[in-house]
Amino acid sequence: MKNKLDYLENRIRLFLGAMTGITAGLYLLTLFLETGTVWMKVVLILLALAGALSIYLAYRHIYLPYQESQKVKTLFANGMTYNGIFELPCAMSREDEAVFRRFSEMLDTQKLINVSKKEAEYLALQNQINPHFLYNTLEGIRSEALLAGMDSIAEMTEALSTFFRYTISQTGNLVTLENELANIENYYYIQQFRFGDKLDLSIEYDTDEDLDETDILNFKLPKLTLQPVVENAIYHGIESKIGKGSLKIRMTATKEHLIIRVSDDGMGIPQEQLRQLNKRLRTLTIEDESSRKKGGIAIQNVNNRIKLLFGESCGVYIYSQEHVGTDVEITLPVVTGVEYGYVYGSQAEGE
Amino acid sequence: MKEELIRFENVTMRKEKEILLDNLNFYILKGEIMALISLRDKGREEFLRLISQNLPIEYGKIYYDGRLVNGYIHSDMNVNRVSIIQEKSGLIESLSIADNIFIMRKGSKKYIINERVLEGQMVRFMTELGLNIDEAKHVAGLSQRERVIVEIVKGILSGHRLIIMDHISNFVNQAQLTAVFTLMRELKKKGISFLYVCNHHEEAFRIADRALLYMDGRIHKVLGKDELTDKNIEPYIIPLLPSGNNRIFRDENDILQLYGVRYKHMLGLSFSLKKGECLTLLDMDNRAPKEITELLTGEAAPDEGLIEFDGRAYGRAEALRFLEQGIVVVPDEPIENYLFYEQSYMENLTFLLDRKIGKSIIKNSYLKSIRREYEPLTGPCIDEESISGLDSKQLYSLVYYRVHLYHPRMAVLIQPVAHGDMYCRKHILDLIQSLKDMGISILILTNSVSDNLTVSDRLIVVKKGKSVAEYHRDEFGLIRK
Repeated sequence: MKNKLDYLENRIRLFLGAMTGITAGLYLLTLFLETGTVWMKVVLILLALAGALSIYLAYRHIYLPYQESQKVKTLFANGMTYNGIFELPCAMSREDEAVFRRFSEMLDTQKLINVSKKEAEYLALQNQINPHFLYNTLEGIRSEALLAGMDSIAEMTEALSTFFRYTISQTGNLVTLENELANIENYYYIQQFRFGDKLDLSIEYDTDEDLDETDILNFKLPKLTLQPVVENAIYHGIESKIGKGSLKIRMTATKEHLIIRVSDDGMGIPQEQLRQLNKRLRTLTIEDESSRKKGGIAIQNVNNRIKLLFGESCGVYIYSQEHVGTDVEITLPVVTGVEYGYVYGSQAEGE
Repeated sequence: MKEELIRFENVTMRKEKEILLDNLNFYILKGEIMALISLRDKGREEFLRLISQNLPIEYGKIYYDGRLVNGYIHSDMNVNRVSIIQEKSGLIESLSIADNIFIMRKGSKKYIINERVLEGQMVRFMTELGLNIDEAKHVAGLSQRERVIVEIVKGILSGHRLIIMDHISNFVNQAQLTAVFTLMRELKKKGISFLYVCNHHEEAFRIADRALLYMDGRIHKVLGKDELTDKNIEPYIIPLLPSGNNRIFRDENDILQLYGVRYKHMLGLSFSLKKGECLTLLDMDNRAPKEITELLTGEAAPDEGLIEFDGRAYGRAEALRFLEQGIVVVPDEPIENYLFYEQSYMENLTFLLDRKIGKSIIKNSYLKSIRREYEPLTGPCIDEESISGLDSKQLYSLVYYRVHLYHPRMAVLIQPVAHGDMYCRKHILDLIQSLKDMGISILILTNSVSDNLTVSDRLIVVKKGKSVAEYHRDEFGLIRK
């Protein structure tokens, strides 16, 4: 149960009361004490000190928290924060706090996650039924059939079906990194029929004496976190590049975070576009038609799901240089146990 | 398992309407040496301050040792446990090392100090690190390496776990730098983290585990350990080769000669500078810049040996009138030490001119003519009443245009490219090249070879007061390798 003085409204009342008392004291002083007496001076000094202290306390405990709350509300209104509005340092009143709490409960995170996940699946599916994708894949199968016989057709079909199965049928929000990487390798295998030697994939683990590759592979992350990022790197980075392109996925785990960096040496992103993209990735974004046109929807979707599941401290950040390449850094909490709860960031941030 | 010591999440900082830090994201692990290579310095100072103090930010969060210490909702202005080692010493020179470390540290609240206890603690710590410095020694008597070590030790004993090394190669020599690197590696094993700030990637790559490429308030790339190569950084840097003739010098007549000069740490130093040549004198001990300048400006005379300028003996009497002899000395950090901020651009530009023309009052017609000549080069800032509002590029231009206008026979430049970001250094090298193109002989005195070679014709290496090696421009490739 919060104290009354935790609310700005009550602090303002207290301050107004104190100032009224001091003013009344000054008035009484002029009525009952003669000018120039020692008592008058002492009481005047005490009242002045009380006044100065009240103003200082009002500045510290009313003005500054009010300013901070206003800043968070402005950021929320501009779409720059999502969780911040529910973590206001000091609510105006108990009623205001209740309104925000109710508002937070009304936003069904579970539903948002599912919508977001469905969208990821839909995007993946949409790409799979993309005529070019199917054409190229089938062309690959056909060529293989003509040149090498039945075995490779079986292999390709198996890769494709595994990919479909992972994308669509697996349920639950979190999967192990091992499964996610297996899906990437499968996806890469399929893409190789189209790109051949042009595409090179490497997976690296930043291990140390306390943490080996197996430990890292057991960490959990939201399903389909990596595939949209890898797909983006291939289609926007490497495809239009002349010559060979390489993709590198590097996993680093700290006590606090699992950091996955997907790097390509493709076309890169122009600086202003990159700035805007990173600005959008700072918080949850509702995708409208205009943001779709700006691109990076798949990455924004991944970012949204991560932030919904783990809070604003996790997410995606992009480093890029035109004609040099792009690094997409995905920051996740270290999760090894059962499925993650759907509470806003409380478990991940630990603040 | 690795642990994060500091983490910046989407940190944005604004000063009035200008964005100084734009969406910064990075982390430094415990026991990691992270380099910060600044390609363009805008916001860099604020960035370093923000690591050490929780100043108000517009957006983002900062964590230190897993704890949220600063955020867009609330900044408490407290200082974090971070030490910054800079050119300006953070120690009190009149006190001993032990006093500086134990008494002057924050949080020391003792009124009665037992010196023996303090010295005991200090000796234990120094021995653990394999350091050998007399703890009773006064700070004033320390070498730069020792001073850096004492500041690091002071930070660690105050509980600081992140040490920011801000451009230390500007004030420690190459041998000392190697010793500091050894200490950093030792401390890294003990879990101390470093942010090594410098402008030269070659230097950073020698010590760093990872590197942040910083430019204009943004981190453009984080290079991992296996990515710290010239090839990987190449797309982010500009070639520093100066524009201009950049011809190879062929005149064999000497303008300056030193024969077996003995003075302070010089133990029979000999070298010559040819007319119109640009010679870089690299002193591995970082003493020559100061000592040669003292001899050339008449602050002292050599104990032994001979100096000749343009074929004539250059004694102390001549050296005291060095400007009249045609020698200009541009000091280290010239925008701090060579300009007058309360004076106008034109007053700064024509500062040496009265000595050149031998008149204390410069005619208006001269000033008009100079303005006409330099306005196309300087732009409208030539009419500025005060130079305090100019950016560093404009200030460096002013420094070199002053030399340009004076047209000396020899310019002595002390560590000309030690300061400033990559774009600024490129600009300085262009300005030096323009002096060279005018036929002015240039002597660069430095403790770091870095970018000076791009403008030099010859390099002489000085070690322990003697010249030990000489390289011509066609051999510079070997040095770089």
